[in-house]
Amino acid sequence: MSSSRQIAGRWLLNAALVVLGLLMFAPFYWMLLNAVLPERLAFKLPPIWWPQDLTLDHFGKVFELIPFGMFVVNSLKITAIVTVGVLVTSTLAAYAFARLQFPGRDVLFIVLLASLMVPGQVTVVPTFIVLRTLGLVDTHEAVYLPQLINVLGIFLLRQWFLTLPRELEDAARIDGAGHVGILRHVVVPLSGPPLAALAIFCSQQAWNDFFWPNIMLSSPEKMTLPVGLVYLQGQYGTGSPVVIFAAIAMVVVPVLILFLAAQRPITQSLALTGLRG
Amino acid sequence: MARPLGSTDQRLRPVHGGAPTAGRDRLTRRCRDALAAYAFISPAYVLFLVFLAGPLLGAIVLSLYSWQLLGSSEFIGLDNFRTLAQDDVALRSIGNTFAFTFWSVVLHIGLGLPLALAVNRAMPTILSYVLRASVFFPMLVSWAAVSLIWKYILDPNFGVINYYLERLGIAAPTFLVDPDWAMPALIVVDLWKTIGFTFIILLAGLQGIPSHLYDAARVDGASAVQRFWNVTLPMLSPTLFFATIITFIGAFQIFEPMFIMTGGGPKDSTLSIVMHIYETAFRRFEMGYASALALVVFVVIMIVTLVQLRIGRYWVHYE
Amino acid sequence: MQADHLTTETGSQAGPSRRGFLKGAAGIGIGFAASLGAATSCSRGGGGGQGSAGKVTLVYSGDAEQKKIWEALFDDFRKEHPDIDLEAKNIPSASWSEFFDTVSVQIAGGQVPDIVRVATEGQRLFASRELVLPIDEYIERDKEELQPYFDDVHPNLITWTNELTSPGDETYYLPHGFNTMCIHYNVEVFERAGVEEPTDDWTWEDFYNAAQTIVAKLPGTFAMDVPPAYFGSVMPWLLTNGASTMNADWTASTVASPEAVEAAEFMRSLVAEGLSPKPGGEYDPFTAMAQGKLAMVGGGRWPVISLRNLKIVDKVKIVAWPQAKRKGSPVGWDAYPIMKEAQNKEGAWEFVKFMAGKKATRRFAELAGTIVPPLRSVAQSEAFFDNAPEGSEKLYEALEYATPIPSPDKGNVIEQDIIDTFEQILVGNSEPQAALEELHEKIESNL
Repeated sequence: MSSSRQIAGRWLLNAALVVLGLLMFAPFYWMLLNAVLPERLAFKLPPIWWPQDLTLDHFGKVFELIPFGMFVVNSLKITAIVTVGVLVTSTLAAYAFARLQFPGRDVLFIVLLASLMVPGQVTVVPTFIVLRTLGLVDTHEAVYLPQLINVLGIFLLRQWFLTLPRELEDAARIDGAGHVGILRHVVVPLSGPPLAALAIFCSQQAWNDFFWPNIMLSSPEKMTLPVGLVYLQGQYGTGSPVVIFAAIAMVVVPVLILFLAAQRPITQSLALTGLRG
Repeated sequence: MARPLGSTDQRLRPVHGGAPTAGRDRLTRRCRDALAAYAFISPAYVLFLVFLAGPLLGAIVLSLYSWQLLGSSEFIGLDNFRTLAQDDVALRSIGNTFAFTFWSVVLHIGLGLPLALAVNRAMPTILSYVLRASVFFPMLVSWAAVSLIWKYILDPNFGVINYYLERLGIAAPTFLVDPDWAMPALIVVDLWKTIGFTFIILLAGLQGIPSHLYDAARVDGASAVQRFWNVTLPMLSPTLFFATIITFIGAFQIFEPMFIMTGGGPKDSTLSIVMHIYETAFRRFEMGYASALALVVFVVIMIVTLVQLRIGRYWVHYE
Repeated sequence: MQADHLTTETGSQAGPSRRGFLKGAAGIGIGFAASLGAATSCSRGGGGGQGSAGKVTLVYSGDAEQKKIWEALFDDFRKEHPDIDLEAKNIPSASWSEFFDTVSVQIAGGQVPDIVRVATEGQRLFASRELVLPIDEYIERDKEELQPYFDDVHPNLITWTNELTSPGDETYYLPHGFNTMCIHYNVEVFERAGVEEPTDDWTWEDFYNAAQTIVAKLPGTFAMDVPPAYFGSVMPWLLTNGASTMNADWTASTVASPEAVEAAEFMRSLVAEGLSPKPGGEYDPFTAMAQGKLAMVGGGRWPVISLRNLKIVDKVKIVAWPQAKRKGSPVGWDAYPIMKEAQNKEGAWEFVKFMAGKKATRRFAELAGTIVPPLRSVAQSEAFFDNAPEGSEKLYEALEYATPIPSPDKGNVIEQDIIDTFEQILVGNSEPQAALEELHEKIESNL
């Protein structure tokens, strides 16, 4: 039985939550707005919160200053390679650990798991040295190769495979399928959810990664989007920051659209993998 | 498929033709399996050895050397660690990182939990949807974009925050330039970006609490506060525990906001340990010392996690 | 005719700097002994000397806007020397120390350029790290070709180079363009505020009064931008009060002298009283000036590009910096040293000669290159004055009373310390006296 006080309380709380939602989105809104306001109105104080005299000029300027198109291509390329690579290596390894008997299986798996405890920074310096020795400084290989292994992915997929009923695999085996066949026709088709989750997680990580590409890449043509954005800000000598905000907008809007289209799978996948971005 | 009972081991299911004898056929299959297994794990394992295990060992070895990358290296044993213990900047960065992490965890749970509770009630679907989306969305945007946006929001001359604070009559500090305010500002930015994660986790945890427990409590006459204390918290404790650890590990490794927004300043007040490692390795090229610093990070994270696991036994309630 | 020349052009932006990274003394000892015996035959102009063909990589500090101008100049070089493939990379940097850090990183990563454009602030730094090639033999060999240069270049630049940035017997640097600091002011803003335009003799008091009037009469407008920039802000204010960060031969710090403290307090008062925007953000003075929201900004030659792009060249005039005790201006000049590890030294030397030549100097002036031409004939010609603020000759005249910007071996660390300290002073977080005393200790420890 809800008293009027309870109802009022509920509405008050809802109102507060609305405000919170607006405040959380406010920085993006401000950024998007200033990316399309003309220079004389953008970043003005008192700030303008309503669209007026919108213009798309700044977006063109972005391309004049930096190879933005290249950034997108580079990011796409590296993200695709990393995502596909992780899916492939993890699926193969997870299948072996889940389904196959072989000497040293448990030890090898525990060693893998133990590496989850090691934070990324420990391996950064030696990895850099290795890549430098191989002459791979300032290349895309240096960026994606170390990311093709994802122990968490192996772990999650193994967990999933263990829950799959063996009968289907046995049936396939009787029909003469080898392990590759079993994977292709039985295991993978049944593993939609974790594979999708892993794919989403990997691509989001690779797309947004700044730390590692920042260390390895120095030529503008090779940069990925996050590194390129920061580079743009450095390149920007004179003028209103609208151009920088236009670039940021071009980076954020696609993510926003993707998110709104696929909110559920995305949030679920990130929660599942249990790692902050 | 079961083998015919009582049969001798000679009758195995024919797999790939041939006239098998029991032991040998099983052995061959095991060999094939093992070979297949090694083949399957080798892509991942080779990568693992080259990019994870190898470098980990490499870091340990490197930490015992002094090496400027372009010169020769010199074995100095544990000297790097001794220097570390005296290095003001390194110690400062560790202190900064602990402070950042502490506040991060406190705020994530302290604000994330009420938020999850608030959203977990009955509310208009549209509100629930909008709220979840807006709280979670910053997680998906790269730190590069987020840092740049906030750099301008906090700008002393055309940032909105300073403007509104001044309108309210508060003398606003120049956030990113003030040694007392730069780190708090970054904590808030990090909170804004990552609270979505904690929120989702806690929300999922709340939704996993069976409602019959609440009904039972209500029947027993428990008030809302009592229900929270005796049902919600204990049942949520595993999730809280998980969220705390994950938040800690993530916050301890924070790098991008300080790198992009303040460069570790002003006066080293926002220098995080990972940023210090970065500078040591990629600006001063002291590869050995940087590895030592990184190992310290590793050890700290391990110790704190173990301590949390220990303490967890007392307050985490498993069904 | 001793050919010891060091010039650097300091294109230091007036913007605040992010914290530079290279703090420790750890050097990048790329001490590879380079053989100088590369060139034996004569090389007279035109298509370059023997063995100069091939790729030459150049690294310079500049943002996207400046890059366009540089590339136009480089294209001229490429036309003149079709056998040399000049690849130029720009590195945007908020300060010279940041630039050197970035270059160091690239060198350590294995990408050694042939030439690095080095300003005064970094010449001792590079020389002390043994990164640069002595060019005495080249100069001697091509003496005749360089004669017009030596005849026309301002003698102060030569002297300063010899004494300060290239001490010892070897020459590393051939001075090129330079910058001094003068005040650029927006005539319209002064008009609207009803304030008399500044003159070359105006004092701090004149300046202060003008500033106050402008801000009072035109709300929302700032009088002058006072960022924590070493060359662009700290030095002019210190020098015009008879102070400096270091003594004349850069061996001791003088940054805590009473005159210096006085100057710092004055700078702080400008910010505190709302005459200057607050430092520490991304404030851009030129855009503000174009919008009529800023009356004055300090600068050398480099503002011209922005002024042209913003189309306010004819609204801006130049005067000397206001003086308290004397007329003062820092001076910094650039050079194009050849790296010891350069792959194509002959080609690099061709570039150096090209830059020293009158044609390139004139072209750069026309394009609104970021420096004042070192050659008198060009600095006093149409090429320099056309489409530039009225009063541009004052930039060259400042050479008479300018002081080389103190840049000892650990210049990058010192510069960063100065920037950080002044940032805290200007924002009001530190008291000038105490902060400068601390800075004094820091500088001393790095000398």
